[in-house]
Amino acid sequence: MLRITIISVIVAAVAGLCFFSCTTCARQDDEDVFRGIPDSVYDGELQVANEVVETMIRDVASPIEMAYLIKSIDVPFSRDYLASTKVSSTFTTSSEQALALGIYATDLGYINMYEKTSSVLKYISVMKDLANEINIGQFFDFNTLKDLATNSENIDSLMYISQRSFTRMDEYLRESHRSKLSALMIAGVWIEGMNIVARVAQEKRTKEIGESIADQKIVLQRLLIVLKNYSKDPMIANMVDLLDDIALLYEDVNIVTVQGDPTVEEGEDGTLVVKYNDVTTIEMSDETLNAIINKSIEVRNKLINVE
Amino acid sequence: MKKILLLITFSIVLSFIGSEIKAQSSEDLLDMCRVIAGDATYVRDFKVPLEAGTPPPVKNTAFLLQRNSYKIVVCNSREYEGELIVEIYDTSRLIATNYIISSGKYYDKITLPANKAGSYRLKMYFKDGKKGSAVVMLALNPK
Repeated sequence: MLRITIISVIVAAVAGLCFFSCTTCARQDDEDVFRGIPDSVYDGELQVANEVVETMIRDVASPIEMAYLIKSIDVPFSRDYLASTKVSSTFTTSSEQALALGIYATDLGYINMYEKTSSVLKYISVMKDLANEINIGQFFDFNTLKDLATNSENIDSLMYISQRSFTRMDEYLRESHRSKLSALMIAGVWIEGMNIVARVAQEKRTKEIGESIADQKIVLQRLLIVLKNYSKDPMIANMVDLLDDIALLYEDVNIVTVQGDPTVEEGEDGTLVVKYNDVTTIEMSDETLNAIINKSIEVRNKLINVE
Repeated sequence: MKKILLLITFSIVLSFIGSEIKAQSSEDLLDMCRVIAGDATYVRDFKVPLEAGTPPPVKNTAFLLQRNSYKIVVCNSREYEGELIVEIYDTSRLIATNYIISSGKYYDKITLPANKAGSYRLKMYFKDGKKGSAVVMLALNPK
């Protein structure tokens, strides 16, 4: 009788343990199933250490930052700037799908920033499919996003969940040693961000827009270092060639920063406010700016098969 | 004997329930950060895992765009004493920290208007080498 009771107790304890840590169990199962193909399978020689690559990947701005800048200079929303969701099925390899995910994530950031929630569903649907294809769909909170998209009052949460999903997908790719796909996703973010800002610049040229485009010289340099690491992949090699054409134009852009001493003061709400007294000067001719704008749009269109 | 064994089982199960309820996950900390950030828009977050003593600091980087104003929010787990110190560097130059040694003041949010696009380094460690767990959220201030 005592033996039966002891066994029952042990069974109950083990059951309790599994039940109350079920979140972890499920997550581990998912991770085992969805680990995907790691970079170690990549047969090309990596020129830059993985840790350096990961740092550089993190250094490319997030999907909403360029849209944030555009919104702040009062440029109206345009659907024409966005990649059509109809071409999503043309992305068939994992490299193309990762790139497309970055492109659509940027478009989603732009849509969210302008609170055009009626377009959200189409974009999150293709993003969900692409994320599933490269086995990171478990980090894309489609159902919550879908619910939030039905009500424009939820825009803050919609932006937050969209952005958080993107961050988690990117983190997971790097954690599971698939930095190549992470690099491609980030490349998609940069390419589409440049496309949107270039399209805006074609219609409304301001000093801020011009300088924002010039600033991208630094990001592109880092992005190319990362991508060249994986250029044994023919799709990436092709992309590097296209981006090199933009980088060549950026050689005529000079960014000079004169350092000033930063100062701090306490804001009203207890925030520490830093006054960063560096002064940056950008030297770029209109011809160079126009050439960068046109080439950036051309490259993006080639990469998503739009003529 | 049977009662004692049942009591042990009940305690084990309860301890698991307790730890589930109490433990502040990094997502909980991120939610806290969102509240502190107010109307700033989430960009990304950095998780700083439990540390003790004086381990090497956690290093991370963030690319900030010129003309954007950023908010850096620090959320410490209430389960540990450790308060996370964040130092922000522009290459090797310290431009901001949330702990001012001279005044002893600790800030859970910093506003940093970036007037230079570039990669900024974040160095993070727990004050006085105490145990801690924290999340740092990078957000965009409204214009």
